[in-house]
Order: sequence, then structure tokens, then C-alpha cells
Amino acid sequence: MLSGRSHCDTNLGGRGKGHEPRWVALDPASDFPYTRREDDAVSQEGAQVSDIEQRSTEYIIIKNSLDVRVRTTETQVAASIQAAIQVAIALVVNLTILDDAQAEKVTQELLQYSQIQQVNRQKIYIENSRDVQVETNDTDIAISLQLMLQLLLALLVQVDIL
Amino acid sequence: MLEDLNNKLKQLSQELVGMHVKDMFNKKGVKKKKISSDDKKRIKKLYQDLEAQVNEFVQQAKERAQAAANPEKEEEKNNATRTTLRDIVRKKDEK
Repeated sequence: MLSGRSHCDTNLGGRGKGHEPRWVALDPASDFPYTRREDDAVSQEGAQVSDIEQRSTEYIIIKNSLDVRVRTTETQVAASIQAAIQVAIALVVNLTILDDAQAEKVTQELLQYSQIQQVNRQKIYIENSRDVQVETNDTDIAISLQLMLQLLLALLVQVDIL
Repeated sequence: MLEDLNNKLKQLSQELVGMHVKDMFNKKGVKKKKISSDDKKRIKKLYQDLEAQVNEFVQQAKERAQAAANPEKEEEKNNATRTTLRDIVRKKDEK
């Protein structure tokens, strides 16, 4: 026995009465909503899922779609630069402050500013779509890196290194 | 003009951060150690390396943003080489 959904998919080749047939990206005969039919060609069962995992926190799922372009940025590079600046701050403080307890306090206080955590948990899900462009930006990371570098510079000036 | 504004804001931010660090050192009555000129040179070099890396990262971010703002060139570039699965199916059908 056919379910309502599959009945709709298989029997309503043209415009259905009240039921629109599902658009299938891999079927050239399938019409994208609001576009005119260009040709009649092969019919193909095309439920393809492309699940690409980018790094640990980004998921891009593109399903039944056509002409999709996704561009993401290098967050990992930023994380390693951020870690390097944090280490440099701690190192400079410990090298230049006489009292260890004081050095510890100053390090903590300075690193409070640099703990700008930007956890990018992005899940991009594109389904039944055509001509889609997705771009994720990393402006916030760039700004936080610059701020941390300013902090390091101010510290170096304060301890007479620069 | 936007670049000028950015530079001014960067300068302002640098001054504020500098004041804060100075204030913190004064409040805590921090006593400084004397460090050798070799160590000073090493730390300077470390700072310059980090600065170069941050600048490179920021520059790349800017370039990406500009490319996104001007998508026509990218579009042309992609259209020249793009072959979709739909194209492949069509070609196969034509044969």
C-alpha cells in the first residue's frame, strides 16, 4: 500500500491538484519551485545526502540541493595565534615581575581580557534549495587577536622592553 | 576614510589598554626585575613574530570579505570550471 507521500511523488508527474510534487535536485525533469521546465529527461531517484564535517565544531549538511557554495574560514589558525599570545603574556610577566605571587595575580588579570572565547558551533543545513551561497566570517576573531596583541604591547612598554 | 577611522580606533584602543596596564602595575605596587639585553631582544623578536602573524590573519580576513562583497568575479571563475552532477546526467542522456 502506498503512503500519501509516495503516492504524491510517483503519480503526480505534472502539477498536482493541491499537492506539489517534491523537487529532486538530481532529477533533471524535476522543476524547482517558481521556475519553468526546461527539458524532459531522465528520471532519477536522488535523495543524496552530503554530510561534511569541518573541524570539530562545524557541520555542513547539504541535502537534495543544487549549485550550493559554502565558504568557511580558518578558525583554527586564530586559536593557535591566540594561544601563542597568551603564553607570551604569561612569559613576559613572569620574567619581569620580582614577586611570584604578584606575577601570578597580574597574569590572571591580564589574561582575563584575552579570554574572549569564540566557540563557533556552526551547523549549516541546506535542503531542497538551489543557487545558495553561504559565507561565514571571522571578523570577531580578528578583532580579539588585535586586542590581545595590544595588551602584549602595552605590557612590553610597561616593563621597558619596547 | 573607513580605514582612517579604523586606525584611529586602533590607536585609541592601544592607549586605553596601555593606561590600564600602567594603572594595574601602580595599584599592585609591582616591583620589576632587571632582565638582560639578550632576553629583551628575544622577547622583542617574539612580539614581532606574533604581530606579523596577526597582521597576516587580519589581511586574509579582509581579502575574504572583499571577495565576498564582489561576488561577480568569483562567479565567473566558478562558472568557467563548474560541472554539476546535473550537467553530467544531461550529457549522458544526450549521448
